Amino acid sequence: MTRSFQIETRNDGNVRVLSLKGYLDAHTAPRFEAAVEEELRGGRHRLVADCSELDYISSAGLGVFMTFIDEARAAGGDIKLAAIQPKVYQIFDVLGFPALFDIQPTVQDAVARFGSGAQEG
Amino acid sequence: MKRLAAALCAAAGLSSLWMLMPRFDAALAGVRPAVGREEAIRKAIGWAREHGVEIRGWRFAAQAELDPVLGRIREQAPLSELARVFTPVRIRVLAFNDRGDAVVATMTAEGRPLSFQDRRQNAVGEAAGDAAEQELSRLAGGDSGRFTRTADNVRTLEGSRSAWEWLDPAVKGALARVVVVTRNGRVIQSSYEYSASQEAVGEPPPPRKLQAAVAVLTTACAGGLGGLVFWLLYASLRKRTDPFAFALRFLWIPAAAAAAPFLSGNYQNEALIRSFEEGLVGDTRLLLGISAALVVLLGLFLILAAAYAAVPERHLRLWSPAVLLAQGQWKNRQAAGQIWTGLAGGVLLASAPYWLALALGRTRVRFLDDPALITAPQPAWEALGGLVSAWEVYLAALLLYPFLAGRLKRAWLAGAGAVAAGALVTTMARNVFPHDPGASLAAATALTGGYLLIYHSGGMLGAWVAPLGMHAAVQGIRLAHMPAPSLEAAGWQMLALAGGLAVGALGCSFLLPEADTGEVETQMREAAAAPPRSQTEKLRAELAVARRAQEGLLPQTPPRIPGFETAAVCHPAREVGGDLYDAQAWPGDRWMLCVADVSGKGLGAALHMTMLKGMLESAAHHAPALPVLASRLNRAVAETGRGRMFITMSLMVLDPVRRTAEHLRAGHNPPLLWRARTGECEWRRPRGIGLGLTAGPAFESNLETERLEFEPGDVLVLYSDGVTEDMNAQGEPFGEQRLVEIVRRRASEGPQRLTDAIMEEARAFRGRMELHDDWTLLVIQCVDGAQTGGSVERDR
Repeated sequence: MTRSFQIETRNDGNVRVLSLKGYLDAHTAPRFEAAVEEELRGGRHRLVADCSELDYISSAGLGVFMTFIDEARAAGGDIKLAAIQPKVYQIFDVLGFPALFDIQPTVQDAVARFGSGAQEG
Repeated sequence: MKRLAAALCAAAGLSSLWMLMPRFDAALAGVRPAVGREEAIRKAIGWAREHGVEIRGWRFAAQAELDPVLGRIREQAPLSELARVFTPVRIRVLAFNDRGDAVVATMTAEGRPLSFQDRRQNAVGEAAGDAAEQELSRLAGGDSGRFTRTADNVRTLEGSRSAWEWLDPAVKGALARVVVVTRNGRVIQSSYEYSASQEAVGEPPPPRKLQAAVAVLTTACAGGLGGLVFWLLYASLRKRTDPFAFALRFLWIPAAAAAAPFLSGNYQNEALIRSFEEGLVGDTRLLLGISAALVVLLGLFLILAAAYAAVPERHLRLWSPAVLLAQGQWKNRQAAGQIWTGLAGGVLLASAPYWLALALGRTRVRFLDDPALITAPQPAWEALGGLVSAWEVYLAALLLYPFLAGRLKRAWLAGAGAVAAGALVTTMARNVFPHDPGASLAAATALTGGYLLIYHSGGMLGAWVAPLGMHAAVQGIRLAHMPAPSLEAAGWQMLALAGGLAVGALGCSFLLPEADTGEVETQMREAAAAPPRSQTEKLRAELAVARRAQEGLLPQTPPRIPGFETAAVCHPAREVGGDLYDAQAWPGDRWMLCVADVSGKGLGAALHMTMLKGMLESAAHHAPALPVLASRLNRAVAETGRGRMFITMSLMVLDPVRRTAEHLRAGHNPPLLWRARTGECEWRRPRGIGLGLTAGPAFESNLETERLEFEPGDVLVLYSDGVTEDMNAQGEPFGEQRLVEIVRRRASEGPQRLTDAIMEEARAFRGRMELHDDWTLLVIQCVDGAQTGGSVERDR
């Protein structure tokens, strides 16, 4: 059983928005990991994960967020999550992610949070 | 941009061919066939009638043959009147019927008779004067006076043989000969031939040592490549089967191309003539041809599988469109783009030998010599042969180059090695300058380099179809240069086929959606990195040991908690798992109960699960406060997992005497508590973050510990997300709601029956799907103080 997963990257001001689409599981997580790593290596530490089209996330997918959050924050940036579908949010919520990550209802809100300087969670 | 460049390549190739081919192409040397297939058959019927045989209504086959010697003579001795009588292309017509009678007539490209052969079973005819003399004047026409008789009705097994010769005054050592065999005064065989000694042809004796060296090297290279194919297959068979799956699925493309000559009747046409020449019966040759085609396809299958197995990491993107195509993903812009690039590149490459001839000052190029299209019933299909038998392309560009590129650090070294070895094989396949091994090798080097460039820019499919572009361009230009009345329609047909394919591919490269090649590339990468099978088996055996060891970590005997009944199940999704449940007696008659889930699956998760088990075990001695224990666990997991893994856990310490429990939830699925009094379920979800998600104080500051109070009959269900996220074939999760409903219905029956019921429903829900995550369930029920005991079911 293989499912598709796609990442699209765009700029919103000086914030990079990564739109995640489909199933983020052990199979597809390496691609997401590579994408985030590329951003951080390129000096772009202000990231927003647009989860509006993310249908599923497994522990391997969650692990990617964990792997890079400290690095992004240490560099003065952050990885914020936005527009998470309810059933995916439930997974984040059970795990206690809302206490650790800045999760916003929309991408605009998440981008705006960078602007207001309230980025350290 | 790339597509435009390819279009320019094709245009440059076609115009070069148009200009250069008439100068160098042996097949074109002054030939303008005046007859095509239909015309040739009509003429054969006429001559047969003159010889007293009626062949109208018989079956016909026609074939064109090339005589390179004559081409050279005509070029070297332009004044030779005699050589002018003949044409380098001869057309042969075979007529036969069901009784086994056959007649063969040969003619020049202009349609003048060259030979006649009557092979009827019961030939009866009337003697008419001196039939042999008549035949001479029929064949030689006005020139018959120049012939000297060399044999006069000599008796042979076949009949009376007469022969005449005419020494070519312009070329020493060359002559024309007419031979007529009669029986009962009737001509049964006649031929008009031109023959010349090697000196007459002026062929420089080839340098023997060079020729021998090239032959040895070529054989060595071909043998080496064959060996490489088998070695790669052997090596990959030990660990993967996907190369064979790909080769089998891709094979339909060459199979369709191989079937084309049969379906169009072209092969039958040729096979019949060869059958006749080899003394075989009718369609025997056809059967041989079909078996030969199957053998060829088997060879292609092996090469494809070996080449696929050799694809290195950096060539994955060159192959993925072909792999997708083989998997039936037609809507694939990349594949269309590759095909367009390959066809266009092939057209340009076709002009390379001619440019080389110009540069080296050679006068003749023998490249893709196949005059068959003049007489093929469906010449359009001839070009498809390029998809089947271009061995040199497959071996050099698709097998050897990727193989070397995967092993050598420097790309240019891989390219040079592939060109060197490929050129030798190409020399064998396309001896562009016969009797001139040096120039032939140069041409082969240019061609092989071209194949590699096409592979580089047009990928696997590009290299695959390049020979088709090459054949179509050469044959199209050849037809355009030697128009014949009955050929034109057929010629256009062929150009339309090749051109349509190219234009179609170009159009599709714009219109079709872009295919997602990432997944297929990941699959190829993973398959290539798999350990050899023997190692896999060893690993499997070790995993079985690990599984037994891990099973030993789960509680061996049912925890006997006074006043409570328990049941538990733990199924790993793989050999070993990352789920854990535990029940330990703690000081003060208390019980520690725990269900935990390590992120990920398999070996890595199992190792962390073992660590957790160890830490819980050691905690049993000093029985710390739950938040302290959780904080300690969190730090250990954060350190060992280094931010790449985490563990979720529901942990509780049960006091069976007071019927209370302290419970904390570190990011784990909330336990379900069924109240016997109301028959309703409640989720227990104190705040808490998964272990290892953060090493900072956020873990502690977000941790809540709650107190549960049990009344007799109450049931607590602890589980891992493998239970609620169990998937069916439609990809739906089992879900919390189903769990709640089963618990509501069956909780009163006790932990064991409830556990069985949940397992049964989950299995039915999953259907034919495999377990996708570790599946763990721990159920406890508070019973009346008098009843004690419990049971733990362990997975077998």
